[in-house]
Amino acid sequence: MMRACRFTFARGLVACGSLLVALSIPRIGHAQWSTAYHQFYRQASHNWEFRRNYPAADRLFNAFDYGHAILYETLFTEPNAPTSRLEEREYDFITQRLLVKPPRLPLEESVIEVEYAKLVPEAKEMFEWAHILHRQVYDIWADERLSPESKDREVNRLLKHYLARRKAAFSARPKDMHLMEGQPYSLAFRRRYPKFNGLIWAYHWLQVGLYEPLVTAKSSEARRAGVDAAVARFRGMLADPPRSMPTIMPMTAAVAPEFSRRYPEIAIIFDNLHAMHDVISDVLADSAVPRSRKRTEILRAVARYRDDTSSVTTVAEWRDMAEEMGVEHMGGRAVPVGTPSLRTLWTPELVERRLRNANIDARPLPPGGRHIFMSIPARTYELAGGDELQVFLYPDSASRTNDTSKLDRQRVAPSNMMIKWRAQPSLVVDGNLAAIIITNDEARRQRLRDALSPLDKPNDH
Amino acid sequence: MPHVPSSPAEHVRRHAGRRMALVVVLMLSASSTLDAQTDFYNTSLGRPIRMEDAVPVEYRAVELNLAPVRLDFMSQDTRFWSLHPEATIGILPRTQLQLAMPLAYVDAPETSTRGVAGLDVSVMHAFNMETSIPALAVAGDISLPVGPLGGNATYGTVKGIVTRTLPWARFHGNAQFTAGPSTSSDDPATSTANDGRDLSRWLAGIAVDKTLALHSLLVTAESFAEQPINSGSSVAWSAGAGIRYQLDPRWTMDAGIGRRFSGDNRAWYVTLGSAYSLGLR
Repeated sequence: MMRACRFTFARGLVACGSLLVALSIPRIGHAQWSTAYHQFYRQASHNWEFRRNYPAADRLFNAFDYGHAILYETLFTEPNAPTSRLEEREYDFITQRLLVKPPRLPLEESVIEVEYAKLVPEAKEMFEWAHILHRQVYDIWADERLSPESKDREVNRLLKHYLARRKAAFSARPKDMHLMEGQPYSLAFRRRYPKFNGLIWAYHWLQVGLYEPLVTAKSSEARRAGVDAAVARFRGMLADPPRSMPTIMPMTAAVAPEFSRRYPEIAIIFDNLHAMHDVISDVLADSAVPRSRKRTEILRAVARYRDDTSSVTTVAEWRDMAEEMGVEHMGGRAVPVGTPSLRTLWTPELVERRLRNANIDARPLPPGGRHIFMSIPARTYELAGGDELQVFLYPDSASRTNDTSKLDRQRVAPSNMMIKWRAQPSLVVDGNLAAIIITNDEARRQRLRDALSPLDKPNDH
Repeated sequence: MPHVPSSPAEHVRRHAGRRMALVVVLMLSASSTLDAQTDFYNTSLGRPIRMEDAVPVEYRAVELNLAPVRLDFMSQDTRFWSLHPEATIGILPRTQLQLAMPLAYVDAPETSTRGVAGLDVSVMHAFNMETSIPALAVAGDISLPVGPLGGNATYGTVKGIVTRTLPWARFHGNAQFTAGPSTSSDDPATSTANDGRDLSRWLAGIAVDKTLALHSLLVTAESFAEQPINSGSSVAWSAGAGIRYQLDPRWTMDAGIGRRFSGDNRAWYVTLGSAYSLGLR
């Protein structure tokens, strides 16, 4: 009996070992060596606060993980499947079951997108690293123990941590649309799968849109109501697909303008992330890109979205592009214009209160001349050590934008003009305010920046 | 997983074993109420089966296996308990360092023995991330003779690991060799001194697992052969199965059951463990 048992085990082990060896031998010509790796999220007291305070929204993101993963796996492994495979079968499963009762935990995507994960682990790791950034920024803003200033500090630390991993981080420089829509394979996915594409864009709308109520609301109750409203709008997008869905890729600067103004680099990273999602869908969906070239094309796109040189545009152009494309086609602003929290304007009293609260000694100077490149005169303050702060208060943010959009932000001067500043200038813009800080003291510059941005801190009212 | 001892070493009262079991159960109960956990998808040695995957813990992750316990139901009404606390740190990309201090308790009808059963320091490095090429990793382990059941010799083990993922299952192959002196049944000083240590001259086996992604659950099974370090012992064949389940983003539970079908120490065994994960600041 025992001999028979031993023989069976031995035979089974040898058979399984042989199978493993057979499965392990890569097909000649397709072997790819990858040294990508996973990195754990940054440990902090705010870890998982979003999950704790907004469980319904958090669970939706777990369901989103599935949607992205099954999309890539299906496009790669079943290129000849009928469109109904994604447009009906998977779409119905996701919208009628998964989004109704989302998974309680983040999913292990490599279990769902097995072949895709093996095709381009480098791209998968970039997505995961950016998704960690997404979740940790939610965590920071969901943590009611942190003041807005502490949240800004934490987000900036997180951004540095994210960007330090150069091989996995998306560029924080905005990229032009040519990268996404001007390639030979571009638009292949959305043309063939308009409903599923709309679903992905609805995901992306919520992923960036949720930041807006988190950063603009002034109480935990208001944040909760804002998040609930954003989730409700997301669900509304699924009501009459594809008519009710976004028809162009949601851009963070348009959907979440306050968040984008506060953290432009992070907003740009998320736009690059979402654009690359679309690019990979196109590469996988385009039958003109042979299977043997999918990895090469994806890695080429990955490199372009990672570097700081390919198809780079300016931040101002990125904002303009988001506005010009029409936020109404992207699903709308996450917090509609006219919401009380966005109506506060900068006033001289508010500026001076902020400076006092930050313990910045600023003495108002008599009115002087007007800069030839600004349409209104400045209120000028003398700072310690002869430094200077010039404040321009416009009737609205559009008027302010009209002036500041013409300036080179590095030199704080129109591009065709040379200004001789007495010290290093820097420009701060926020809503209807523009300010020029003239100092060589970097610590003072940062304190002034912190004091003058953003609008709608708890004590502003 | 510790190797099953061939015999107890010293005499203690038998009900001490029950007390230890109770402590283990209480520790597990307490830990399950804490607010945190680890990745259910990455199997590691003994959690819940002997075979592991070729994927170290993530860079900058810390995984604490606080109270993983194993119980062997051996012949002649003997029970072998093992508690295997360990800490694993992702010290470099694709590289983990693991420290473990197993505690063992042998509860025989007339005799019992308990104590620290060595100190293990191991490093695992994955060469690559799986593509069309399987994930490949190598691990090195030093087992130091620490504690009353830790023996009196140092052993070094080198292991190769391969993982292949298919849409319907994942396969793992492990093979290892241990360098160090053989123990002898004829020499009680050496045979009993290594009672609690996890030692085989060589070991080779395979495992398969299936993941239910939407439920954060992994089901796995294995079969392996090993040559005990004790000279003169015959090759032992074992088979086991287990599950890993993610309780929340930081806590994972695992449980396993297995049987050693041949060799000198045929026995059923069960394992139960929990792991907590956090990151370096």
